[in-house]
Amino acid sequence: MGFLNYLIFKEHNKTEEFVLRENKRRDCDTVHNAASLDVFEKEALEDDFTDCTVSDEILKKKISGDLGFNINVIKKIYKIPGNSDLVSRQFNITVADKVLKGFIVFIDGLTDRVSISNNILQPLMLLSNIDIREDVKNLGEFIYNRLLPFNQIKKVDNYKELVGNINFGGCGIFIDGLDYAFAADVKSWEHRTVSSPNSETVIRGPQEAFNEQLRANTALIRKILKDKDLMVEGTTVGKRSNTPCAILYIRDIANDSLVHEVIRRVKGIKVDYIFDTGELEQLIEDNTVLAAPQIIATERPDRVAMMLAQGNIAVVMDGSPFVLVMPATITEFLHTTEDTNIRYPYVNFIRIIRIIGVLIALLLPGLYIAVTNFHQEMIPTNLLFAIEASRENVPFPSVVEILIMEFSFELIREAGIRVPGAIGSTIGIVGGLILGQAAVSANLVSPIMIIIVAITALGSFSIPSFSMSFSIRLIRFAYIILGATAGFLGIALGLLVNSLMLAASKSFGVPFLTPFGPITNGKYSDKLSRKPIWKQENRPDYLNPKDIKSQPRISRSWTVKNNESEGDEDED
Amino acid sequence: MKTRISFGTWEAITVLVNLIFVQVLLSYPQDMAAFGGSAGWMIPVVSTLLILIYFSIIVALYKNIGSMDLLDISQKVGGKVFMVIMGFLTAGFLFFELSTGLGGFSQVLKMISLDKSPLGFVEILFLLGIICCAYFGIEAVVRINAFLLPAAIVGFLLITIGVIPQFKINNLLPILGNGYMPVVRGGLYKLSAFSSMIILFFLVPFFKSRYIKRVGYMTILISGLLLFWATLSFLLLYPYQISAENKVPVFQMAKHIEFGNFIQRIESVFVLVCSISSLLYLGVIFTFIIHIIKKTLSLKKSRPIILPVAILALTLSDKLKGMKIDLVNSRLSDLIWLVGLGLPLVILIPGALKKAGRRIEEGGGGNE
Repeated sequence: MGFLNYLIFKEHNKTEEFVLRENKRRDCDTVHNAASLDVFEKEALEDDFTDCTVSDEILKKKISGDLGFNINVIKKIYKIPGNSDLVSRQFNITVADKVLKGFIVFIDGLTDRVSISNNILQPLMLLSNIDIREDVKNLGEFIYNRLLPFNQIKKVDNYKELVGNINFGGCGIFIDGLDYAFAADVKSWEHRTVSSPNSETVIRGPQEAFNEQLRANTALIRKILKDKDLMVEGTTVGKRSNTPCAILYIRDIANDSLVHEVIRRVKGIKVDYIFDTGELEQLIEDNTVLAAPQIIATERPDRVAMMLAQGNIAVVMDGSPFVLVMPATITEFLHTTEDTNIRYPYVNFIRIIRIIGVLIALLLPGLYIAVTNFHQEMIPTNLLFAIEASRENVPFPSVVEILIMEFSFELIREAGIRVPGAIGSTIGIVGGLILGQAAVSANLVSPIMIIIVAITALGSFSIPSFSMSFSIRLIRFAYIILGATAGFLGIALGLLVNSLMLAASKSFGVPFLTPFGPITNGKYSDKLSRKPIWKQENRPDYLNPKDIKSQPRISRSWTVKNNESEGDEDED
Repeated sequence: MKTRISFGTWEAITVLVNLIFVQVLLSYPQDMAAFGGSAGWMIPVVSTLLILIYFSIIVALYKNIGSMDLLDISQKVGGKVFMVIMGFLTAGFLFFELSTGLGGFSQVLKMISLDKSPLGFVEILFLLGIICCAYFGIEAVVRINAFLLPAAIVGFLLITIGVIPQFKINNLLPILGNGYMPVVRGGLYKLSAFSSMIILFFLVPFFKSRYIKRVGYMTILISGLLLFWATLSFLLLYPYQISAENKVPVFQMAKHIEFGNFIQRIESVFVLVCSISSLLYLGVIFTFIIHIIKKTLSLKKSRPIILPVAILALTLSDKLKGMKIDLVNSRLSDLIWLVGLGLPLVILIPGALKKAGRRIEEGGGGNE
């Protein structure tokens, strides 16, 4: 029979083709502009309420004392039972021999169901039947004080706040006759635990990194600082997402106007959704076009803690493992937390290496092109012969050669990041070694160019900040073009324009090139080089902190006699 | 909210030092050899002493003026009309300096490095740099001087230190060269090297008048030292008869450096030093021309006039090249440049007599 199918015509089953139609026009204004919650009950508007979402105006309304009405509103807001992860449950409680109706609502998956059962439903449904020797003067207070043995619970009198709490792992509790609801913080969801940093690894220092949980992240910072004056101000960003954020600062160190500016910018964001601090960074930074980053994004709690102690401000956002710290100056992008933890001679040595790395990453390809095309006299004769011999069979001009190599390197780097771990490293090896070797053998590029690109790549890897590394990789291409166009004059022009752009930009009111342009006179000693830790007496003066002193002049009191040490402390 | 622009004394000093130091990269040591022969190295010393006297007079005049720039003082002295006249005179002087500098540096760089590129191309590169400077404004231009100029000076010192092994002390004999009169005359003529100090009188509102002494004296001493060292090392390297014929003297010096087999020729370092220094110099002059025009004509925005003024400067530079007079190295040009020192006196003397700044608060100088 199967054979006959090839001989006899048989019409195929028709599959219905999907057409993406425009939405049916629904006049949502009636719903959105509804002056009163009474419209919820009107049958004439039922279809409108089904299709239109509940507007902010209605969400801001006060909670009603009528339980049935509240249930109706909540069901409209969340479109229950259409929403499968929304759980609602009605129950009875007994207060002073009176049976009252109650109702809870929460989102499954975001909440701890055991906690809801044991600490909310069980006490309300069972404990309320026990004869409690107390007069019930106020029903709400009685329930709050006697029947809800849960630690994080608050009274909420409008739907907007309640819905915000429910969306962030809360449980809404309504009791008939109460014109407010209880919001219990029962959040519990699957999340990544605190692990070691991926992009800011250190040998000496803590090995903890932020995760995607706001409270865990703020706790990690508070755990390090242990300062009563650390402020964690909460707010939300995103009109729809209401993503919780925390703005952290030490209130007797951080400059007030700086704190206000950060809060103003964060609260001034008008977007529907925000998913990561990467988006937040772009929304609050001073200059969008400038290649260099103006805010530090770090995954290390110890780095945030150190910068907060200097007078910086941090913004933590729920769902992002990176915390933003501001203001940021150019030197801070070249620092790591390890710099503080390793000894003074080592750190200065490593910083010199890092600065050379930055210069190499930025200028080496451009300088190579400038020298080989315009200033050959600079190259020692033997080396010049070697370069010429290696380039003899290469058909491209050196600028095309280096652009091909740089582009290939960026391609390998991008491919290595995007593919899964084990294959990623394989791509690096294949791209770097095999492709490079093959390109040289095929006379597509000269061996010297491979060396130049490899050293440039090493230089860019030495930059601690991911964003700053990106910026330098980008600008490098401009230097290559300028070097190929006008030699050292082109490079000088590039340096001038680059410096102008950096000198003209500010990060939250602090010039980006501080403390070099403008030169600051303060005794802050952690600039490009670093003084010994016991000499770091001052906080950065460009942050205008309330308290400039971070330690007394003699911080190692054991180096002086007891009476002198005491005198010094008194003086400070 | 207006943002007040201010910068420190170091930034101001570096701006002014570069305006003077840049002469070294063109032909200053060569001119000194031509003026004074083997005693040419004394001319910068004489010029520096004379300019110190000039500046001490300025400081005395400024006591009654406060933190005002030349335009504010002009307005106090002779009203809006006088301010506009002085504004245009100053801008015109700086514009002339910009045009000659643009042509001069373009020719030098074309000659020593970009010999296959057309001169217009080199000029356009310079023009791009100065347009960027004016676009980003005085604050940015002044701040980058603070760290780019030291790098350029280190490069210059490397060149001059590199030729020390080839110095011949006999080149300085006879000690007084062609006699003391050419030295004194040269010292007077070459006061023109300090003519760009006119910019100082527009920087005052940004760093407050109480620092004018420090900025002025430090500028004169540092730049005087650099001029002296450049001339001395040039004369020590070449006999003055040859020195007077050498074009772009520091470049010629760089050609003599030998550090073993590996570093054989580092004259390209001069190209880098000259490029950075000249771009900064032209950038500062152009930015202040725009600032002066804006203030003189009470313009709300300065960016729309940047491109037209830049194109005018390029055009004038081309026209000047067509003229037979050497406006960079001739004695006539030295006299023209002295206008830069005379103009401030014309404004400051009546300003001081009228005690123009008595009622003005510190910092009130239209620098917002």
